Amino acid sequence: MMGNKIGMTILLAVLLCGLTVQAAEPGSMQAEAAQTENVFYTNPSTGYQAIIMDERNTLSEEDKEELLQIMEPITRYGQAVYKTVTSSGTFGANKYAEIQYGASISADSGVLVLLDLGSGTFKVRCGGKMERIIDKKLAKTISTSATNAFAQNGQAITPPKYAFEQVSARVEQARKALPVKYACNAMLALIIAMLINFVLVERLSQMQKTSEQELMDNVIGYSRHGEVLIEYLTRTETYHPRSKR
Amino acid sequence: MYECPNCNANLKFDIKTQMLLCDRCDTKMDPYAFQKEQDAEEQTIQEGDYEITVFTCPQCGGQLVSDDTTAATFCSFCGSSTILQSRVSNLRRPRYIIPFQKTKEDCRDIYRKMMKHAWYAPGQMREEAHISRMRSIYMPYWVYTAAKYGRARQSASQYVRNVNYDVTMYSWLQGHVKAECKWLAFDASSSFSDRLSNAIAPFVWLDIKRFTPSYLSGFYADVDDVPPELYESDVSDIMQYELYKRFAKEPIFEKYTLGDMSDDLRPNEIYKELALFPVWFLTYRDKDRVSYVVINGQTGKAAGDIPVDVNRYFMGSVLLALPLFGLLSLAGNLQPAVMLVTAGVLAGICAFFSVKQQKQLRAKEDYKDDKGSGRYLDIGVRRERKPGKFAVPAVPLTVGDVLAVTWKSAIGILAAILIMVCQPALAFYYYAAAAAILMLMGWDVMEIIGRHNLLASRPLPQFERRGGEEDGR
Repeated sequence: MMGNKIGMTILLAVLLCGLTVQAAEPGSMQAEAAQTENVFYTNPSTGYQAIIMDERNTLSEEDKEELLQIMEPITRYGQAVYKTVTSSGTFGANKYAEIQYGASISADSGVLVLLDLGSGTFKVRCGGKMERIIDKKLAKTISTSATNAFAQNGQAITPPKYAFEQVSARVEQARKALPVKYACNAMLALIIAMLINFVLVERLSQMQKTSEQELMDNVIGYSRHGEVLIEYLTRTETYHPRSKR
Repeated sequence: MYECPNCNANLKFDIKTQMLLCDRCDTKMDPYAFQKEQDAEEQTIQEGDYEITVFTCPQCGGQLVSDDTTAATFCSFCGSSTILQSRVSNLRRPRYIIPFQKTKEDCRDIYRKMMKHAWYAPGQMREEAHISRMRSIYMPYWVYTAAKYGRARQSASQYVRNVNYDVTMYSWLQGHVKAECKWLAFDASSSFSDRLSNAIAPFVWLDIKRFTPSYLSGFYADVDDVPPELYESDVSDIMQYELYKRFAKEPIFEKYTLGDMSDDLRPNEIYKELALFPVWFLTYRDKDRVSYVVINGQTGKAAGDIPVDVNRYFMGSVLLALPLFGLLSLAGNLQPAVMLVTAGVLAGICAFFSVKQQKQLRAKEDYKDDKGSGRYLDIGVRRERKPGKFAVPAVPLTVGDVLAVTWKSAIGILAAILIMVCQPALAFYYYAAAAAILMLMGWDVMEIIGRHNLLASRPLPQFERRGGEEDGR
C-alpha cells in the first residue's frame, strides 16, 4: 500500500513538472508544430530547411513560391525562416527577434526574417555559422532597408525578398572568398613565422659587444690630485619663498 | 723553421706547456732560450721600378706565399712553420706578446657550442672538415699608455638654499693631477674588423710577455699596417671620460655637480707599443664573400658573423608556420578587415627591419664601423665618439636609400589604407589585397635575409690571401 502511494506521488510530481515545463514553453511546442506544417523545402545534402511561417497570410501562394526560390540556396549554409507576427509585445524588437529565432530555428546555423505587423518593421537575426558572415551590424542594415522598402510600397513580398536576396548574396560571396581566406591565413602564418625566425636569427647571431666596463676593468689606471683650489666665477639666485613650497 | 737541436725537426710553440716543443723527440725549450737570427731566407730582386722581396723556406727552398703584413706563415710545399724575420725586427719589432692559451681543441669545443644556437647557419659550417681549418694568428695591436701630469681645471656648480632663494654657484675646480691609463689596446691590422676585435676584447694584460720570435713558431702572424696615431684621439677621449668619472666619485667633489668635460682632463702624453695578441680564425667562404668566426686565443671569448642558409631558413619558417596556421584556424578565421590591417602592420615591421639594415650596410660600405680599415684611412674619416662610448656613428640615409628597401612595404601599406578607406562590399577584395601584400612581404623578408648575409660577410680578399697550410697544402 505504502509503496503504491509513493509511486503515485512520484508519478504526479513528474506529470506536474512536465505540465509546468510545457506551460513555460508553449512557443516551442507550437513552433515545432508550425514548422512541420510550414516546411516548404529541405536541402537533401545538409538537412537545413526553408520555412515560411506566414500565419497572418500576408503572402499569396505565388509569392511564397518566389520567396522559396530565393531561400533555397541559403539552405546550403543554414536554416532559412520567414515569419510574420502580429506584435512583438512588451519585448524590445531585438529581444523579440532573438526569442523568435530560438523558437523557430533549432538548427546550429540559420537566418530568421521576422515581420512585425504591429509596428510594420522587419528584423533579420542570424545564428551559428551564418552569424560569422552576417554580423549584427550587417543584419541591422538589411533590416532597416527591408523596413524602408515595406514602408514605401506596402507589398509584403518585397522586404523578405530583399532580405533573403541580401543574405544569399553574402553567404555566396563568403563561399567564393573561402579559398582566398585560407590562402591568406596560410600566408599570414608563413610571414609571421619568417619574421619570428628572423628576429631569432638576429638575436642569436648578434655579436655581443664588449661593455665599456669590461674593457676598462682591464686597463690599469690610477689618478691622484693635489689640493683642490676653488675659483668662484658667478652665481645665480632664484627667489623661491618657503611658503610656496 | 726553428730546428730542434737534438733531431733537426721543426720546433713549435706548444700551447699546453707554453714551451717550444719538438713533435718528434719531445724536446722542450724555453722560448727565450732559443735565439735565431734568420729563418726564412730573404732575397730582394730589383726589376726596373719594382722591388720584389722573395722569402724562401729554409727547409725545402720553396717560395713562401706572403703579403706585406705577414710575419709568420707556413710553407706551401712542406708545411714548415716559418718566421719572416725582417718583418719583426728593428722598428717593426713588437714589444709584447700574449702567447696562445687556448688550444685548437678548446676552440673547436667553443665553436661547436656557439653553433648550437645558429640553427640556420649553412651546413658546411658545422662539418668537422670545416672546423679543422681553424687558424691561429697573432694579430698586431697598438697598446697605449695615456698620462696626465700637471694642472687641470674642471667646471662645477654648487646649489645652496639661502632663506628664500635658490642659489647656484659656478666655479672652477683646480688642482694638480697625476693620472695614468695603461694597456688601452686597439687592433693594428687593417684587415681585422673593429667589430670583431671589439667583440673578443679584452686581452688580459697579466699574461703579457716580452716579445721573442720563438713564440711565433707554429702560428701565423701579422704585423701592423695601421699607423699608431689613428687611435690617439680615441685614447684621449677615453682618458678624459675616465678621469671625469673618477673625479665625480671623489668625496671632495660630492657637493659639486661637475659641468661639461674639460679638455684639461685629456692626457698630455700618450705612449704606444706594438704587441701581438692571439686570435683563432675560422673562415667561411661563399662565392666572393667571406665570414669570420674569431676566438680570443687567451680567454676563449668567441664572436662571429654567421650567415643564414636561405633554404634552411625557409624550411624552418614553413615548419613554424604549420602550428601558427593551426592556431589561426582554431581561433576562427580572421575577419577580412582584420586580415588586411594585419598584413599592413607586417609590411610596417618589414620596412622597419629594412631601414635598420640599410643603415648598417651604409655604415659598412663607408667603413664607419671599422676605423682601422685601409679604406677608412684613405678617405680620412674621423669617427665621432660619444664620451665613453664605443658605438658606430649613425649614418643618415637619403630618401632614395629608404625607398630602395621599403618600396614593397610602402605599396602594401598604401594598398591596405586604400581598401580600408573605400570599404568595398565584397570580402573578396579585402582577402585578395591582403594576399597580395603578404606575397610582397614574403619577397621582402627574403631580401631582408639577403641583407643579413651581406652584413655577416665581407668581400674578398681578406685573410683568404694567406698561402701555405700547416699540412703543406
